Amino acid sequence: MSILLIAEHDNNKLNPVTLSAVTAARQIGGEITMLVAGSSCQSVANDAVKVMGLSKVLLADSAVYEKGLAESLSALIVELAADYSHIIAAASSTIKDAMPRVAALLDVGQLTEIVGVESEDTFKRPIYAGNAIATVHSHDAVKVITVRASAFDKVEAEGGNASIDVVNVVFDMGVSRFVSEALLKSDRPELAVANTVISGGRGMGSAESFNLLEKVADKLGAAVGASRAAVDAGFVSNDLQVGQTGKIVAPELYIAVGISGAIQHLAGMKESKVIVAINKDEEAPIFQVADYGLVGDLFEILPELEAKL
Amino acid sequence: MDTLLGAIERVVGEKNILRGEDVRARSADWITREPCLALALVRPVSVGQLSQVMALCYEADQPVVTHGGLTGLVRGAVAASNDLVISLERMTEIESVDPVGGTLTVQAGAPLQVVQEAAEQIGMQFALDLGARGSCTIGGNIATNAGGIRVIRYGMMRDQVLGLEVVLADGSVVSSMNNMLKNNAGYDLKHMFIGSEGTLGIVTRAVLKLQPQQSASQTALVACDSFENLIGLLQHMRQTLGGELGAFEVMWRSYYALLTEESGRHNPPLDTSSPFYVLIESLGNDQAETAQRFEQAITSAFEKELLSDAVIASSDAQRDRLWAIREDIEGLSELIAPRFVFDISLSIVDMNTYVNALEVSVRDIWPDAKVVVFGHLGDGNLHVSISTGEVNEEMRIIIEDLVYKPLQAIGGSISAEHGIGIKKKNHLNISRNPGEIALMMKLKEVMDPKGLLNRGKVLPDKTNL
Amino acid sequence: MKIIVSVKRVIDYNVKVRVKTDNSDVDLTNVKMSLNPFCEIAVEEAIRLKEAGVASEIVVVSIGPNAVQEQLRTAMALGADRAIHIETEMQPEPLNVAKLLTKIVEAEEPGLVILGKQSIDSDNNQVGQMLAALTGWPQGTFASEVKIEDGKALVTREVDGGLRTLSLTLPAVVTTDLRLNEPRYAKLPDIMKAKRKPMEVKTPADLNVHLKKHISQLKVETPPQRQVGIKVDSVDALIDKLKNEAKIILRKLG
Ligand SMILES: Cc1cc2nc3c(=O)[nH]c(=O)nc-3n(C[C@H](O)[C@H](O)[C@H](O)COP(=O)(O)OP(=O)(O)OC[C@H]3O[C@@H](n4cnc5c(N)ncnc54)[C@H](O)[C@@H]3O)c2cc1C
Repeated sequence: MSILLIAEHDNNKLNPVTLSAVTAARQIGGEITMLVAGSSCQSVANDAVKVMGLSKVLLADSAVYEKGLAESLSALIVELAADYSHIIAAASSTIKDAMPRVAALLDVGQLTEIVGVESEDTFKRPIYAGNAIATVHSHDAVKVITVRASAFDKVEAEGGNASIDVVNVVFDMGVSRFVSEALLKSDRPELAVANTVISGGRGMGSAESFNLLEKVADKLGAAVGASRAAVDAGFVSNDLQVGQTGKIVAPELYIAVGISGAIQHLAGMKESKVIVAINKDEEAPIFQVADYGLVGDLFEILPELEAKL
Repeated sequence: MDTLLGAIERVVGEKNILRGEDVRARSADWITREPCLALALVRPVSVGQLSQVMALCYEADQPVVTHGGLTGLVRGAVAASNDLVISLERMTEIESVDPVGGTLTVQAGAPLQVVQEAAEQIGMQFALDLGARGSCTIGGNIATNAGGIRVIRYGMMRDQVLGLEVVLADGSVVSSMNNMLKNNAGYDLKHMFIGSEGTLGIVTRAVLKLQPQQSASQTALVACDSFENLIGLLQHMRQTLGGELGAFEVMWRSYYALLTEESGRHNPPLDTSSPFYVLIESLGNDQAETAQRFEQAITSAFEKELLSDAVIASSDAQRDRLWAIREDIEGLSELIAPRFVFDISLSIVDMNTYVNALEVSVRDIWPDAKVVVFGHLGDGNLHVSISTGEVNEEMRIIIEDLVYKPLQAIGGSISAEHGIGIKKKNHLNISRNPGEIALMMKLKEVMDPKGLLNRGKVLPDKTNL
Repeated sequence: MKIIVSVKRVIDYNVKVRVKTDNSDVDLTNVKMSLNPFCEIAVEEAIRLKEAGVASEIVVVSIGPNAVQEQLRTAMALGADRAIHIETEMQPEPLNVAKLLTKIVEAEEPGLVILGKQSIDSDNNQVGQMLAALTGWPQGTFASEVKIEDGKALVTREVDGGLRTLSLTLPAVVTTDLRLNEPRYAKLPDIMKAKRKPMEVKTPADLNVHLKKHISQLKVETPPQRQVGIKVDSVDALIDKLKNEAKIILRKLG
């Protein structure tokens, strides 16, 4: 078995989701070759060779691959595909765009966002928005796979010493052209899409004390949210409201501070991956949904948290 | 006082008695959001604890106010500074569900939505439903005999309750946890407590009746260009859908236009030029049949010109968006704050004349006043909000007169489903005759001789008799 | 310009799925079925392009058993002009869907094909890209804005960390993301009219497509339930748990 793994990067650094994809690839077994396709991305290849578990790094460095346009990237992967039994990558937006094309051009099915490896041709993947997990079996000679990075640990980014092979094929399909991009640069990500959300409730006591939350949020690169009670009390404006009648969020980490946990609030955040509750009332219902609960005075806890992060 | 609170603390434990800021942080008036003034808040975890707490209060002549989810709209849960609040927030357990008998046994502090979801888990449904479902509690629903959006099909809370457990003023526990559909052994005591708004006892547990799940729902928003057509439409839908008619919720133009086009809170699915809009829902068992019957019913109403335009939700997401307009009471509160809120019953045929006359009489005094109307038309129940831009006592008296006087003349009720609380107690005589009120007072005297339970609520002040 | 919109009938977004006790699949008996939400957005976008005078005709296509005609009627009530139903016993795999659509596209020669980015049942997120690959057309996936200008499609896409705009030559394939638009409701008079709009029925054999099996579903399970939470007694313990147990990276990324 031999695996071609497509690196995720920004032409500058290797994105850590790639390390999770390597774990998935190692669970499948066989030699792993990592493809770094981009523009002026030698530094990414230099990162890649150090990743544990790779035997080779392929570097395709051309202006054509700068933005990872699906038409060109998929043509490149298909060109290289003949040597591999598996083509795999973390399900980034670039990969979700390009990988199904690879599968179609190879006339094989694609296994989308796997969360578990059962064997070289059998995998687990979520369906129905994660409300069910399917075990699926591929009949194709080449398995084209995208990986849900959060389901796999990351391999060590240091310690490997693969060699770099330069790939000189360039595919410019000429049908699609990059025009512009607007990357969210603000330190405070938008509530609906943030990876981390920290929300305050009635227990915050005042608009001023939301400053304490904001400081922690800045440390975490988190968005700030609020419960309906905090909005009603006038502490913050209602565009921060998380809940049934506010925004529905599902971040990796949700920290509820001084929020009792009314069912309407839970409806807006219970799909979060990890929930932390900080409340002085140890009977507050929020603790029933929290993975980690800390009972105590938020006016002491928040500054301490800020200092220790 | 401290000795009483100390004794109570020994019963419930330190963390279950709240004082000071923790009490102020709660608000028992959903509309004004004013802080709770009570001297302390106790949250027992069992009926045993509550019974002991009430025995202590009884001995000390300590008045109490019961708190459920605090969504009541008649100031029934408002406490004075010498009141002690009993909150059911720690008695929220669903004790058992019986799919064969179709019953569910629950502690009174459980939120309505939790009960609805527990019923769904076993493929049944709990049929009471209202906008405050996420916060309001079963105890509060029982205490106010709540109505809501499914009354046309399943009746009010009273129709969903089979048995009750109640703690009386002196701390004694009356268990009447009947779980049989039929039980005519003597007086059916539960009915005395349902709708008594916490003045006769504190509800701690209930046996609720479940209904088979109606998994196939169909929803439409329709526009009507006259009140006659609106009534015709109601009759038409009743006839063509029969038992499947699950909701018939009317929004006067004043409500629909305000919540959509005028405020931008919701995109208007239909333009805002019609005088009446109705949210119609059918609930059935078979997806395809229910859908077909519903479309047929709406189409034939259109052909008979009972409705002038309609949209049918093609997914539950669209259904939710239609309901969001009707249930955006938060939005209404924001848009026309401050307001006077009324919840009245009257015969359907009288509604249009009544509302038109009310608008005229209000605008006679305040030309710019807003009169916003919606309600459960099929149940003869309208919710009327009146906003003149400010709220004061003098104005309240005038507006209550404008709303209630004509109602008395046509035999309507000052409270269809929200209850009496403090807000309407001195108008009780509009909807109840002296004999009825006298019997109510006698009952209160027997059940709560010291007048400790929700003091000053529901029954009129003696000076007003 | 003609637009083809391909739509899928799926379990309604609000239905909580249950896994069958024999773990063969989820239980779909008597559950509400609707247009896939992303497909609804695709139909809406096509209608808006028609209302803007950019498109002249909208053809909706759906693949599956007879029941999918219900969703095709819905799409026509919303504003599509005619429908093509490709009749199959079950919903085929993405690659087979893409092959069937390729045949339709070859015959109809649209200027644009709009699809939902994924269906909320199988969550595959593949068909649009596969169709683009098989036709050799450019693609604009996960679109949050679509403009047609000077014979090109300007598509703004939702990508990790922001938005990216591409210019595509026409004909092209676009897949929709949630923020592209808010779909309208079907109005009663239009629902009635839609019953008379043309619906063509074809089979994979008519289109000369052989449905090949690439991936089999062996088993379906309920996901592991959330573990009961624990209480920690200090900020240090909390940070330690988050880092080492929950494996959360407690720092700003980039
Ligand atoms: C957005 C919104 C929509 C609403 N829609 C409807 C509707 O459609 N139909 C309708 O009928 N009502 C409606 N209501 C009002 C309705 O009365 C309440 O939502 C609900 O029934 C009250 O429950 P609660 O737990 O919040 O009670 P609370 O507000 O806490 O209490 C209400 C009264 O009951 C007493 N009480 C509470 N719990 C107990 C108990 N365990 N034992 C004894 N007494 C108790 C309280 O002392 C108080 O007098 C609505 C309210 C809101 C805010």
